[in-house]
Amino acid sequence: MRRYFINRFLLIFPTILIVSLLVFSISRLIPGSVVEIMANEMGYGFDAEEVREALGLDQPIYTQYYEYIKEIILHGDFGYSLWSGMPISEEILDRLPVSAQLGLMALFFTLLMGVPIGVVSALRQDSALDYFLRSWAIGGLSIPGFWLAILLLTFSAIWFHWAPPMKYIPFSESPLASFQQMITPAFLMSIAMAAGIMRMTRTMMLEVMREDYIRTAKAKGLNYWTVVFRHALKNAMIPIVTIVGMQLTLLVAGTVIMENIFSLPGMGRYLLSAITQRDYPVIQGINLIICSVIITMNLIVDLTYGFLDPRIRYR
Amino acid sequence: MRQYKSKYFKWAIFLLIICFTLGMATVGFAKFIDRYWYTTEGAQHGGHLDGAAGATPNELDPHMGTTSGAGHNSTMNSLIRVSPKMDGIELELAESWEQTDALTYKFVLRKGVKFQNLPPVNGRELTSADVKYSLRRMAGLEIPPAPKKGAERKKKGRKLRFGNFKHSYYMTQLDSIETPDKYTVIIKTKVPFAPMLHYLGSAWAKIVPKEVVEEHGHFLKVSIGSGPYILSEFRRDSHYTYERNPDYFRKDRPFVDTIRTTIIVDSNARLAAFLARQIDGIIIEAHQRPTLLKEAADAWFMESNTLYQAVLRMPPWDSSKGPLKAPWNDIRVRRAVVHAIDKDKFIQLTQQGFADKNVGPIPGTPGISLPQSEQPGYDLEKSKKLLAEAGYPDGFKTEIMCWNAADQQRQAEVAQAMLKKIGIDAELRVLEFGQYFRKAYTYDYDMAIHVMTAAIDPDELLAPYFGRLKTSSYYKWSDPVLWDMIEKQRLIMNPRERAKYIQDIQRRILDQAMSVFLFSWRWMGARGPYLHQKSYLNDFQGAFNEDSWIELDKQKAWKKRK
Repeated sequence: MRRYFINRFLLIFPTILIVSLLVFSISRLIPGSVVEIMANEMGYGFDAEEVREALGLDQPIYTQYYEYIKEIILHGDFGYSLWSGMPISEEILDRLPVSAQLGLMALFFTLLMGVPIGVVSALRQDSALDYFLRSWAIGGLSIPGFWLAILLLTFSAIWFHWAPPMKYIPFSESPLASFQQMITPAFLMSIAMAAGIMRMTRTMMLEVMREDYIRTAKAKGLNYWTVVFRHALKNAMIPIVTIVGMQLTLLVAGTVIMENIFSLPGMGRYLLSAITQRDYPVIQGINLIICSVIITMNLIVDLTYGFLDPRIRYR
Repeated sequence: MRQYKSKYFKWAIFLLIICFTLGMATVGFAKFIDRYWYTTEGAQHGGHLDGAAGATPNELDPHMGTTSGAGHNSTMNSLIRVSPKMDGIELELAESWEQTDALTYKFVLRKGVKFQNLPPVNGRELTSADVKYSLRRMAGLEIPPAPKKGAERKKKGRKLRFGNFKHSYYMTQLDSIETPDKYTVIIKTKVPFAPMLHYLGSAWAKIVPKEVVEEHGHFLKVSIGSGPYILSEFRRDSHYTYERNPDYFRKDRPFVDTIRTTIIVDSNARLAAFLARQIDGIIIEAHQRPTLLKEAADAWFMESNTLYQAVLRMPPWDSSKGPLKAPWNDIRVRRAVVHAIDKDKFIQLTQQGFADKNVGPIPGTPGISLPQSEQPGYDLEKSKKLLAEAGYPDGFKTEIMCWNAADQQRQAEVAQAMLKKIGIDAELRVLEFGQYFRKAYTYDYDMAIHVMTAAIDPDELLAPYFGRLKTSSYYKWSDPVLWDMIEKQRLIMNPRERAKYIQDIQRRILDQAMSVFLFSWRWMGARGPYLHQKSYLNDFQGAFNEDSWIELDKQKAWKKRK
């Protein structure tokens, strides 16, 4: 187990390096460079060459990449926004908690809804309740979250003269107000993910409940809920944990839309405006952070398997 | 039988009237007020104002920006201001002005005007030296030293030189600025320059302190001036907050203590915030009008024209790079396109009818805009005939470019459908914002849906688009006769004569048929029935917050009554 963990941990660094190289190159391939936008549209500098030189973009690309990686490794410095001149590390530190809070709350609601509903649906297979819950799941997967968000905003304002607070309230300033602000977008984000988790939970539970050891457990006279939670659900969890791991990527991408609709100054919005404006260091920095988060979360998910099923051995 | 029918018929009519009245009562309608109505009678000091903006400004620099207009109107001042309906001049930092001859403008500054009490200016007095510096900076004449190679890159942060200011063409005729004393500014132009006063009164001609530029290099995160409000908080993508400047030179202003502008990108979310009474005012899009009128029945609703206009452009022509490509080099083809666009239907399909049909490049300015009687007119038969005469009886293939905003795309689709009727098969190219502007500013496209932004003077809608190639930046058109006419209109100091001449310029532009001037957007907004604001037609001036005041008890009651 320890060897497995060390090997996986060490693999993080070359993975991030490859991702950084890919993002560095791809962002510069997007048609319409930052120099053109700044010089032509915004009137920065006296000509494109001056802008290119001032931003350090006149250097060979391998030199730019080397300088960039060197600063990150030696000083943890992600550079400066080409537009605002602000240190990217500061902006990320400012915005990461917003996206993290939104993502974690969405994950919480996902598991809170998806797993219990999947269990209930499996235990009440082919009942009216089962059909209702499965229809809900199909609806949750089909209906775009942003559409639901707009409907919710519009109709709650019209019918109840209510809208979630639009001015961002940091958690450190007021945890309750922050929670009230985030609960709506987090819940809306969780619907589609919970639907996916619910379907997987139901499928796995149905499979596991038919196993011999479950029949044996029941025959031994164990309490029904002990059979369901301690024996059936635990064995059904491994694919569910895998799905949760995969959904983390969707979670990170999904915050962009909700942050725009609910006016949350998170990383998603920052990334979107950086892409529009070709703010290369910001695009690179945020992608590195997202990559690191996803790699770490996937490592945690993989390690969870050993906890859920002691038969799993890591090599 | 007839009596029976008559009796019930009368009851039916009576019931119908009752139902209609009740229906109308439940629907309710917001109260319409004149956008320009403003009074200070009973004005109260104090209170807090909540507003919303659709985007974070890229920068807070008035000489750079095209998006931060409302922001620096609160923190900075100009010498003068163009009046709400753009028919006069209001004094701001200047306590008086006069034009001593055709080339000379003399401004006497108010005494004791101070910059905000923030470092590095620390509340020092604003003088004529600041005015000189600011106008020269705007003209691109105050050039900071170029960053040194190597050393500059290693230094923390980076300083980009802002030399090619977006509105530097305002000052192309600036000859000199003299400051004989602390409070007198004498501006001389090279030739008589009719737009000068308007340019000096624009939202971009703000007076800024040199020390801020020297310390920060720019106004990216700070917005320090002599204005009525101090920018106390600016969180990108979230909000910005202003607090009353206690040292403002107008002692009875501003009225409101704090203003908070929340950045709400989504227009539905903005409407929801207004209906939930989280914000005190809103500007809406056409499709939101019925909902707002119905659901905010006790609000004040305003509607007026704007100076923003939608344009269908044909290829730009830079003769220094070669001739205009076929088939666009044939004026009959261009005229065929103009006559193929049904502007009334265009407005109905894209703006639900809430827009003002334009004739030429200058919208909404009585006496200068061309009258509707001079519309080129929608005439499909004429279009087809022109195309056939030009050698394209079956039309031809082309492209229409737009950026990926819903309104832009809708316009491009409607234009595509209208051109199809005369055989022009236009492929739609919907581009991401950065890609669109790259093609637009390398003048590399066939047709494009574009926005001509609001202008403080007709010159601003002519020179950057149709003027000489060296100075035109938004579009290119190689017509030396037109160039000369555009330069000549600037020299005509008599407003009536100038207006007539500008109309002739517009006629020539229409005759050349390089663009279809579609419509101007309608400005539609609402505010709580307690918020008094002095509104300005020029979209970059909007409302100067120093004049806004709130009936405090009414605001409290309105926000409670949900």
